Amino acid sequence: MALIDLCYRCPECGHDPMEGEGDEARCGSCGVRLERRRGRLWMIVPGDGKATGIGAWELCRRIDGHGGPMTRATAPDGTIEYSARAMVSWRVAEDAVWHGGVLRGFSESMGPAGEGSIKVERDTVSVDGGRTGAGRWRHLDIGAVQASSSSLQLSLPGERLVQFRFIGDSPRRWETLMRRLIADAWKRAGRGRVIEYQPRIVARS
Amino acid sequence: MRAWYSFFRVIARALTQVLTRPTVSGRSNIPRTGPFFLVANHESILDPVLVQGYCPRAVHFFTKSTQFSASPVFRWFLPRVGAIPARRYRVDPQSVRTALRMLRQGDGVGIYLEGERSWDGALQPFRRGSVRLILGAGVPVVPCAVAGTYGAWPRWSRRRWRSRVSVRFGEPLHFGVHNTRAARDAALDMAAGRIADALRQLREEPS
Repeated sequence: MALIDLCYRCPECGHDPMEGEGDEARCGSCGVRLERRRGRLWMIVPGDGKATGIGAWELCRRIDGHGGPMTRATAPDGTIEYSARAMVSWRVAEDAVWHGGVLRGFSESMGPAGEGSIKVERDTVSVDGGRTGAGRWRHLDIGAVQASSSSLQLSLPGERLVQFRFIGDSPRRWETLMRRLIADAWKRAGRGRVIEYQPRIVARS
Repeated sequence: MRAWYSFFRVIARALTQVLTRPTVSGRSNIPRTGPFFLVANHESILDPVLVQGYCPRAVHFFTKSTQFSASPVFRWFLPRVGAIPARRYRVDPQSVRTALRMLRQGDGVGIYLEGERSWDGALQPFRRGSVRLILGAGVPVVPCAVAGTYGAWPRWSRRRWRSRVSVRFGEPLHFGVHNTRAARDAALDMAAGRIADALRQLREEPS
């Protein structure tokens, strides 16, 4: 995980993606730099070179103001298409968790990860997990979406769960992107406004 | 569970004293006996260590189910510190049954109502199912606000910084018992709003 997972596009000029690693990020277009030092985030605008403290909430607000993940995923003709490489794994088992002779619940195990990809279009998501499996689903059929630690997880029909650890892309970008596409698909299908994405997608009319 | 829980609580306090030197207040707001919910904001991996480390009573916390299968160590450790596995990608009736059983035993149950660490440190919308569980159980709800852990260790960073951290337990909130789904749904937004307000106020209190 790195600062560019939070700030995947420039909060100043909107350039996407940001570059950098660890607790540093920089914009290849306008030259803005972001750094985490002494437990705070600092933004350094080229020119005056002065570091200004900025909250993560404010950074995210500015990124959303530039269209969040949708700008890069949308072609000039309005077509939506975006993809990324990822380590893909699927849920393979569910085990009972006992303690003191009492059932406390169930845990889920993910299978081995294989290098693959995820691709979204306006109405569908395609997964190519290499040797671990592949498929294509409508956004309307996705049961839940969330970013867990540094990965994105989708609940698919048939109680399937797939997890993506992105190679060179931001899980926060993908969480926001999937949520927006699902919300849009639900709205177009007349299912209402999505108000919750997990443990299942819930809409309010 | 008690002996292991007490042991790991001592370790947690020692660890956090070295790493963050937290300011802790309001511990007397935890009921001395009887069931209660402890609801906390979640902005860092440090939060569970601080909240459970400084809560004067043992609390069974909902924990993401995949954590239990992350390693044999976690699978051994988590039940001993009261963790209740919750499958987050579907409605999980077993985790609710376990929580209600703990409450009937007179224990405390902990929930991070946001369901996941915040990306930006701000309080996220609460899971509606978790708020419904609180309304159905009808036991006191103690808000616990953790501040400063986002600066110390946000979810997107591998690096921990020293940061001023505080853990504040607020006065219990009472919502009464809502026996029907319709009653719980009607009270859901009100209850979520009151809990969120309490957490925000606690976070903004001067040290």
